[in-house]
Amino acid sequence: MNQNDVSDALAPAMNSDTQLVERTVAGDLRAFELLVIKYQRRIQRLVGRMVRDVDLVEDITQETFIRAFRALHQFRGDAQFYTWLYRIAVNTAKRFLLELKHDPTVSESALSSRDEDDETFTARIEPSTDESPESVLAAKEISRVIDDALAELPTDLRQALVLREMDGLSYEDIASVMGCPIGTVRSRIFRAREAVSAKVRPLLDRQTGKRW
Amino acid sequence: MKRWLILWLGVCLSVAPVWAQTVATSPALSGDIARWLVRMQDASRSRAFVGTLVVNAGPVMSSSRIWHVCNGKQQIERVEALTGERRSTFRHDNTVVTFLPESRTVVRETRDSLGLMTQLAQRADASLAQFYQLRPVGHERVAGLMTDVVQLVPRDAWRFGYRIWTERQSGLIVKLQTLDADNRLLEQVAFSELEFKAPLPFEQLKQLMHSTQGYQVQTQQLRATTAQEHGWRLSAPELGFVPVKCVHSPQAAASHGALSLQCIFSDGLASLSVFMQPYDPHHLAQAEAHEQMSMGATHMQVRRLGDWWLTAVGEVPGQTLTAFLQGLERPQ
Amino acid sequence: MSALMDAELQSSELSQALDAISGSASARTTWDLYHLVGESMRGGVGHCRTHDPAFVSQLRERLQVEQARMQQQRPLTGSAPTRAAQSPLAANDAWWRKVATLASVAVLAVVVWQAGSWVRPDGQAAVELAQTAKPAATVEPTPVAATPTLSGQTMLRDPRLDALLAAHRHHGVSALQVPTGFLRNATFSEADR
Repeated sequence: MNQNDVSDALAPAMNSDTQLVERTVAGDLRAFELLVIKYQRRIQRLVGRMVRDVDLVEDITQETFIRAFRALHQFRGDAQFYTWLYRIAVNTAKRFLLELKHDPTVSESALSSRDEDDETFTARIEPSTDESPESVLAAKEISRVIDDALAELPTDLRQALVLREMDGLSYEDIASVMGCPIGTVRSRIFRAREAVSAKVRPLLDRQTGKRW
Repeated sequence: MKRWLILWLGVCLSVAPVWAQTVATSPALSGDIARWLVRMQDASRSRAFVGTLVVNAGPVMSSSRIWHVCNGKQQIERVEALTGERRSTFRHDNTVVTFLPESRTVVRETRDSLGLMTQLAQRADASLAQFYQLRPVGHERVAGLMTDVVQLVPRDAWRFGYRIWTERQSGLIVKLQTLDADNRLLEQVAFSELEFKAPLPFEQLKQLMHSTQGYQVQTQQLRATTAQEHGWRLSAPELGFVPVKCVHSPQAAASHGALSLQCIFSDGLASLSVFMQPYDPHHLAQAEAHEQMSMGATHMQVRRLGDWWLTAVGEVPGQTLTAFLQGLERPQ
Repeated sequence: MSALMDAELQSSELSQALDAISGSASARTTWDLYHLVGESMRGGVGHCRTHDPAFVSQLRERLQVEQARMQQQRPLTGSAPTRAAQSPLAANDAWWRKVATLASVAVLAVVVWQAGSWVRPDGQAAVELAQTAKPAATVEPTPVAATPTLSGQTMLRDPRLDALLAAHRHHGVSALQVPTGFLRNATFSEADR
């Protein structure tokens, strides 16, 4: 296999992206939805770094996923999905900005770019709304809750989760490290995630309705 | 300090011993640049990470995805461009391999600059303290991580200042700003996302680095040389930028003929290159009409000296480049 | 769902999983949460935001429309997949690569250079630029593009300058080199055309 074709192929066991992509191409939209849920915020943050207007950010993010969906059959499952998506997001944002520049009804403030030629745009260095005090505080709290929950887990549950999330081992490898059947690994990881998530869920309920 | 992290042994997928997770006393407080530098350099050696790096230089934004994996003392890095021409760059010890999928080419080069890095680090304490002052600024969250922020204030106008964010526990630089004399931002390099984990095992990444089937491989060998060998005398001004090395640079040669010479100088933090090339009236760069240019923190200046065309480039103020260009002589 | 996340589900189980998830908002939150936990463990959560359900449902509708449209068009199958398109190289680049190839057999034919926009510090009008420009090389088109900007700064692109910049970055020696400096050098790429 060629290098770049393989490029991230050794990491496909890391997550289900490829599997979900295949499923989407086969016609199942729900699989794509899972990908959207997973990457929505990251893409939005990326776009927010390039564009100031919050509504526009959301439009561009939507557009990014639509374009990705259209081009999905061109995506070779052996490269990283996120990287591929990232590029689409950047190109989509730039295209939007270019179009807006040529639209006389759009005010300057909607754009973040000034004073340069057609083909570049001024990238804002700090994302527009990311680090508002409330969101930072919320993030800290969630982080703390997760840490506490992890420390409180029974050792074998925690170890299984750590081996999966930090070391990226497959269930098979974890099974051999921990000396137990694969089914046990699967169950331990699931129970660990459930236990931690249960503690975080109430915090999230408080946050629904906020935009950022 | 995450309690559960203590319970997890082994930061890198390797036989490396447990990396002692002591709460680091911030060297910034003791004002010792050298120790802080060493800690920073060690940081990447100890931790595996995956992140997205964003470079803002002037109006241009570039980003890339970085994988950094270690195996005891060895490290491998993979940088995949997310903007612009597609390419992946691998670095392992002194070898750098760049894959260019669109032209199906691989460029392999052996750099000795990494050996120089150790020399530089050893010299760092003397020269850096002489030219920069380390000031703690505070703490800030960047990409979700807690960082210590320091500022390196230049003691003179020949160099730029820096603001540096290092991650609390690992010492890894997560954000770096280059500032001019008025504290204006010239350039910023920062991780927008960063996770401390190994994306795949060391051996596999190494394997990837050498999988060149289907690609045309080009090997680049750089010949070290000296300015004197070519009849140049560089009375480099006493600005703290000492000569590091001189090479025949292939990139420069491709633009102006095989006799291109590149000499690199550094004060420990910033570096500049001076190119000496034959003057060819048929290949005039637009640069002739513009003697000074900049891109982000990088400045460029040109000067004609008889049959020679001189160019100075570096992350330093224009006047420093001028000083170097004026310092070039060709004694008969 | 936990196993799905780790790609440890067989395809038969995948259908069941998708069935379960699509029906339930709380299942989608769970998907989100499981990922959040992982990210938090790895140290990078500054923005602990889960997905926006409104966003997703709006997108879902658009996707369904999109899917219907695509099915009507009967896309070609079996064609060689193309990469997400990069804009074609400008004529400048073609000229540049030709020069690089001709330069010398011993010298690298492919120059890994990074194009960028150079800014001239003091704003001089574009007119002056044209007057002082000396005649370029005869046959080839000028590889340089100079564009006046609103503020009067002139930006120009010149592959030759970029080659020197690449050479400088290549050897850039700095205590900050590792890893950020090297990464910066490897990252910094052309101003997208």
